[in-house]
Amino acid sequence: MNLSRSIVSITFATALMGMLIVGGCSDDASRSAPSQQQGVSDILQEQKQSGESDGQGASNGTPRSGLFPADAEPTYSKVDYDLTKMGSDMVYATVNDMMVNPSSYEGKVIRMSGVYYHSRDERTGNDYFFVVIQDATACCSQGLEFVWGDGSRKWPQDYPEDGCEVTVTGVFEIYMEDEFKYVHLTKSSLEKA
Amino acid sequence: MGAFEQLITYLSYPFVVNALVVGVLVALCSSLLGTTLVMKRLSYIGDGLSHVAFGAYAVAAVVGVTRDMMIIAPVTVLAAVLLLRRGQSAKVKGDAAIAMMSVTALAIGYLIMNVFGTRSNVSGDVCTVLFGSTSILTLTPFDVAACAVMSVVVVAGFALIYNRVFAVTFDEAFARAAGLPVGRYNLVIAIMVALVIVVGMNLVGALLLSALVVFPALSAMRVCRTFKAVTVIAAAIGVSCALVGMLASIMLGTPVGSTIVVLDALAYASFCAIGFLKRRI
Repeated sequence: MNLSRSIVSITFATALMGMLIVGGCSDDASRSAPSQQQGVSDILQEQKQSGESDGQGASNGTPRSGLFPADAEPTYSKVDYDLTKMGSDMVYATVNDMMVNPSSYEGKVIRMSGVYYHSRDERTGNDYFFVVIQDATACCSQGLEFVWGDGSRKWPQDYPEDGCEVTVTGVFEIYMEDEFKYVHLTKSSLEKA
Repeated sequence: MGAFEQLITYLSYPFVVNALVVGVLVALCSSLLGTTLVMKRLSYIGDGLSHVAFGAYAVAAVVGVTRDMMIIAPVTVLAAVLLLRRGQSAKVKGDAAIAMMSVTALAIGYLIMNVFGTRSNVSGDVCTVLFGSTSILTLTPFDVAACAVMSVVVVAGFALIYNRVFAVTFDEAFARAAGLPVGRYNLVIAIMVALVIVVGMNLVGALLLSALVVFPALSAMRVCRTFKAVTVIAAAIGVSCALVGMLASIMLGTPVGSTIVVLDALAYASFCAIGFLKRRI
């Protein structure tokens, strides 16, 4: 009697949990992910619109012809921190650690994959290029600035479209600008992920 | 690179080691106090206080305080004292008081962040605090030190007043009649719970925090019959699930808090099965 009552209780609990799971895993997840994505993308889109002075050429998200010529890319035989081989939690935490403890990473070769974005400082006219990664729940993003090669390439004609998945390999460097300390990857190679 | 080699590589990062140490300490404190809270029918207080802590975090974020723990800790302690110190003599009893304070703090916190917030990604900040995705991996040195100190204080305090906690937990009226300063011990328990909540938010976030408190104790109660056994087994379960959960989430790229809570739930199911089989044998 006790056994049958236990079986009934367990069956009822399992059925209830199943109903809750099925009912809860439909639209909410898909609705929440885009809104989280949209929040971050909106912010970056605002920066992009404030920095752009002319329209983009390609509209299909693919790199323009002439991008990533292999013979013009810096190459690194040894990578000290290869974030492309890490899980998303570690990538996010490592990039955060680079911001918090930059001196521990100075001079190290870093490789990371993420979404490419451009931004322009209207005050100085300087262009900045970023590779952005998100945490496991996609609600928070970290970005790392990079300088492609020797920095001589022209934006927008030489650079990919914003939102393109790229892999960047470069040397971590701390630099000063307007009395503020920044970090970036210098002498970087840029390749499509 | 094999999984083992990758894990060894990850363990070479200081922030991973910090996360594991803090996570284990938080899980230990949560599970120790969870036994008392579950037996006093205050299982949901972890959730309530974590919502209060979220509200305090929102105020700290809006005001622009760098070390938000300086605001979160005192506010959460105050809320815990209000909820727990009065014990059985409160006009509004445990669950109703927790519910009132919990939803009010959550609503006020989110409202403040939206109306007065200066950060660009409010949703991201809220999501991180509520679910603790990678918060445990992004602790500042101050956070690590504060968490470690608070955890040591809680564990040491619990060990020192263990017998009184036992008496107050099982029969408050008898403890009072026997001459124990029940109000004072309720206050100490309240402060310890608040400290655990504050540090626990970094591990699993505000919404999942009650799992750290409740599941280990409930799991242990499936198989153990004495207060000491439940406390010890609960601590072992809590620490194991937290440690395995953190390592699994780092390796698999899953949210840390959710992974730990799922493991806690699986542990509870396992101990239910063990308890069932034990009674049948």
